[in-house]
This record gives sequence, C-alpha cells and structure tokens, in this order.
Amino acid sequence: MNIKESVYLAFDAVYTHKLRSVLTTLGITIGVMTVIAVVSLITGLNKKIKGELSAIGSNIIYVQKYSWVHTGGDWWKFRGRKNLEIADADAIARLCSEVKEVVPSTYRRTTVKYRDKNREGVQIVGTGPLWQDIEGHFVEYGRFLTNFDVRRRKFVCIIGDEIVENLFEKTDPIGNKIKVAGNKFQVVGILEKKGKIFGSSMDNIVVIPISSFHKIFGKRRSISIMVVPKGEKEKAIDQIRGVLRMRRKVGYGKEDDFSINTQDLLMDMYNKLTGAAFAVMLGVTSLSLIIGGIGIMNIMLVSVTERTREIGIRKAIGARKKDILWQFLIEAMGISSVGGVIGIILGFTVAKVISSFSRIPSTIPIWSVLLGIGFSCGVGLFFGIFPSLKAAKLNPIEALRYE
Amino acid sequence: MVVKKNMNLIEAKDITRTYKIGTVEIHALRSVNLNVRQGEYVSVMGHSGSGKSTLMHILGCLDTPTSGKYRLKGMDVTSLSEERLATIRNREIGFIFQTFNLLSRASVLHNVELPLIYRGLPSKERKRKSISVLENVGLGDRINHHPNQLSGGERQRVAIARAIVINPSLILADEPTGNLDSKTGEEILTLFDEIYREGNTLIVVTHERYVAKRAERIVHIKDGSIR
Ligand SMILES: Nc1ncnc2c1ncn2[C@@H]1O[C@H](COP(=O)(O)OP(=O)(O)OP(=O)(O)O)[C@@H](O)[C@H]1O
Ligand SMILES: [Mg+2]
Repeated sequence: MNIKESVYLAFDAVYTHKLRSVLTTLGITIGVMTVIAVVSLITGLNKKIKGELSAIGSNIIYVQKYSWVHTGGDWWKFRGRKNLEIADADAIARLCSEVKEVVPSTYRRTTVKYRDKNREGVQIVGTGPLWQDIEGHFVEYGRFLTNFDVRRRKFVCIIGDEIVENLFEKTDPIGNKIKVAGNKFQVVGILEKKGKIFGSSMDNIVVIPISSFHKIFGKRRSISIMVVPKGEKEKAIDQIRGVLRMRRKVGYGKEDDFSINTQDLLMDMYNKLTGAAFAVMLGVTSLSLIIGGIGIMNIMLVSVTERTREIGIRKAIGARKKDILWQFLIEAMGISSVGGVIGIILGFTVAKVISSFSRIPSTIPIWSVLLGIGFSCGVGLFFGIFPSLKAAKLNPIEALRYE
Repeated sequence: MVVKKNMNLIEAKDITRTYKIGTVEIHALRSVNLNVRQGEYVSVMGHSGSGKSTLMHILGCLDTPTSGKYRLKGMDVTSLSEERLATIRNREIGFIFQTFNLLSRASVLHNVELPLIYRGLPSKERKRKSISVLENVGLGDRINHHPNQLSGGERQRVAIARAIVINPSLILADEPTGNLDSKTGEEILTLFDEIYREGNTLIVVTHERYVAKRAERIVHIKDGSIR
C-alpha cells in the first residue's frame, strides 16, 4: 500500500474523531508548546544579551573591588576589601608588559544643575582621556578629556545626550557651566547618543577628570581599573594579578582581594541561567511527551479494537502485515503531529504574549518548528508501535467475525 | 500463472482443520477432498456448523489446514508464509460475505479500489477499473455514496464489484444471499450466473437448496466431511 493512502487514512481517522484526537494529544501539545516557547524566548534573549554584552568589549579587563557575579554572602567579603587606588592603576601600567592601556575610572550618581534646571541621579564618571576608546563611547561635538585636564584637575566635563536634552533647550551647551554636586564644570564636549545597556541609560552621564572627581567627592570609594591587553587577555590577567597581589600583600595560597571582571564572566553566568531554563524545559517536555505518548497508545489501542472488523476486511482482500502496521503507525503519527502543530502555534503565542509583557524579545527559529514536528511524530511512532503491531498481528478470520 | 481449461484450479487433498479449545478438539473439517476445475460453478451445501465457512477460509487462503495438501493453480499453498498468502488473496481470490464486509467510512469507489491499492496500482488505473466494474454491476451512478446510503442488495453488489475488480482466479461467496430478501437474492444470483458465463470460477457456500441449485455442481458437507 502506498504512503499517500496511509496518510489519507490517518487524516480521515483524525478528522472523524476530532475532539478525541485533540484531547489525546494534549500531552504532546503541552510538550511541544513548552519547547517552542522556551526556545523562541531564549533565542530572542540570546540575540539581545549577546548584542549588549558585545557593547562591553570582549577584550577589556575590569579590575574592581566587587565581582560582577556573586551570591548573597560574597557581598560582605567584597565590602571588606581594601579599595583600589590610582596608584594600583599606575603600577599595572608600569609593571605589566602584556598591558596596552590602563584607564582608571570611578563613578557616582548625583544631581546636575544648569541655571534653574536640575537633573537628579546623573552618572558622574571620573576618568582619563582613554575612556572613550575603551567604552566605545565617543565625543560628537567639542573635545574629550586630555592628560592636561587630569594633571591639572580641570573642572571641565563632557556630557551625555540626555543631559543636553534635559538641561539645555535651545542653548549650545559647549562653553557653558553646569553644577555637579555644587561645583561648576565647564562643558567642553558632547557624547554621541548610545541608548540603553541592560536597561540602564548610557546617555544620562557626565564625564570629568578623575583627579577633579577625587577633589570634589574624596577618595573614599574604590576605583575601577579598565585594562586593554596587548595580546592574549589571559596573559595580561596573570600579570595584573601578580602585581596587585604583591602590592596588596596577599599571602601565598590566599584568595585575591580584588576582582577581575570580563565579558566572559557575564557570558558564563548567562549561559548557566539559560542552561537551567533548558533543563527545566527538558523535564517538562519529556514528562508531557511521555504522558502524551501513553495517551496516543491508549487511543490507538481503542482504535484497533473498534476497527477489528475493518482490519479483517483489509486482510481478507490482501493487506499484508506491514500494510496494516504502517496504516496504524502513520495514523498514530498523524494524531500526534496534530498535537505538535497545535503545540507549535500555542508555543509561539505564549512566547509572543510573554515578550509583550516583559522586555524579553522572542524570535521564531525554523529549526524549533522542525524540532516540534519531529518530536511529535517521533512520539507517535514510538508509542504507536505496540498498538500497530497488535493490529498487524490480528488473525483475519477472527477479526472478520468480531462483532 | 497460466492455467489451461479443464485443468484443476483447486486440488484439496485430505484437508483437516481441528480447533483446540483447552483439551477439547473440534474437528471442523475431516479429511476433505475436493477438486474444482477452471471455470466451474460449484456450490457447497450443508447445515449450520457443518464446516462450510472453515472450508471456504482454507480455499481462500485466509486459513491453513491442520493437515492435508492444498494446491491452487498447481501451486502448493499449504506451507506458504502469511505474507505470501496475503499476496495470493490479493491477486487470485475474490471474497463475498454474507454481511457484505464493506468499509463503512469509505465511499463505494474506494471500497472497490481497495484490493488494487494493496496491489500497488496507480490511482488512475485503479479508478478506471473500479468504475467500469461498478458500472457492470449497475452501480455506476453510486460511486461516491457511502455503504450506509445503499440497500442490502446494492451493498452486496459493491462487494461483488470489489471481488471481481482484481480479475480473480477464484470467487468465493459465503452465504451471499443470507441477509437479503428473496427478490434481491435472486438479483445477486443472476449476477453470479453472468460472472460464471464470463468464464470465472465460483464457489458459493450456502445452506439453501435454491441457491445451491444454481451451480453446475453441488458438494454436500456434513460434520466436516464431504459426501
Ligand atoms: N475459531 C474457532 N474455534 C473453535 N471452533 C470453531 C472455530 N471456528 C469454527 N469452529 C467450529 O467449527 C465448526 C464449523 O464451523 P463453520 O463456521 O465452518 O460452520 P458453517 O458450516 O460455516 O456454519 P454456518 O452455516 O452457521 O455459518 C463448528 O462446530 C464451529 O463451532
Ligand atoms: Mg458459515
């Protein structure tokens, strides 16, 4: 018997028992729905996260007091560490041959004023001339910081797009003075618009020389040291650790009392998180696929019994074992792929709904559709084997006599 | 397989069929010998439980004898595999049953096409053959109907169409008029006469004399033995 006939029979059987088929495949629907929803959310998230992570710069090493990745108790450990200072940055620059550039920087949120207007919670960055290269965030008008500014503790600043928008309406900011925590800074440059990274704006920012920062805010806070390696990142990290451990007198065998953060660290954490999501998905999916499969097996057994006489007739007119076997196998796969298709549609709907309520984007990878269909057909095939074999093995005479 | 006229289409020798239920043995057929020539019209007559259907199942390769030898078209089919027997049924045997045994969810045309589907014939040829056979049995205008839209006589004619569409070597009918009134039964028997006249070999199983008498030869069966 040809495949076309079997497929026709399968869909005829599904169509005749619409409700029964749909109910039977509920497990498969849920399984496939979970796969599709999770896969399309995670791939959507992947795209977004990887895009944002790449904004950090894959090659830059951040030497900091706190690690980007930590669990509850760690925080107190980090807090107890000695601050990183300008002198540490200078030592790295002086002693590490694998290091190309060193940029110390420090941050604080405070209020910025221009005439009668003020803006709260502006990110003040104290840093040096190389900051814009490392951050990939460049001046659009005017100029950036110079070594001279840093050395002479100049009260000059470069402001972000949001500051321009909010404090200066029609006036050209360059040359005007704004007040940062009560100190007058002359605007010498405007940064290009950058948008948001991980939900926080990159444009609500005022960049000043690190020396001026320390003059107005004091040195109570630890600085961050951003390092660009010459060649391999790992070699530079080894040297930095050596230099800092020595300067900070960390005993042999003791843990570092500073953190070296890189993009990889975030990537690792992200991969662990999505890995966990995938594991949960795998659990839910395999459980519901098994339940779905058992449902299919059950309904196929019912179907074989109901259609005993039909099987007898088919055998009497020359259907071979394998013809009957395939008829029922394809029917089982047909029923489960109905569940699969419903699952795919629901999965995408769920993903779309979730992404419309949250900021997680969703994409529809073609392979996940194929995976969904493949899964459901596979389950139909596997759990259809037993009932189909039962049908194929029926004795034709007994089957014909079946009432 | 080419068969010469007057050669034995069926040679059944010492056929026995015993059913075992627990320790009880039921002898449905006891050492049956039967030869049927190509183109013959034979009726097998006997009371209920005499073994008619059992014999028909063996002759139709639906069942295998407990002992004895059965040759169909000169070929020993007693020891063939289930697979081969299915193929023989598909190509050589046309069954007609008392209860019609049509697929209720399929159309009349599809029912008639079914053996040709299992034979692997292309769709166009299947349709052409099936429609022409259905026209021959007078159902040319009902091909898209479903069996439950037909009368008993019409259903049996669909079953006959399904049996003859494969050009079988042997047509086996088990109580073909059993579920029909006498007038419709008569129509079916007339159809058999025509099929016989076209040169087909027919074996009709019945317990009714007027049905049996239509055949060229009557074989009486009693308690599993042929007299
Ligand atoms: N599967 C079976 N198991 C046990 N006994 C059986 C089986 N099939 C048939 N028999 C027995 O074999 C004998 C012959 O049965 P068969 O069906 O051939 O009779 P029949 O002549 O066709 O009767 P009827 O005219 O009522 O159809 C009966 O005694 C029956 O009970
Ligand atoms: Mg009988």
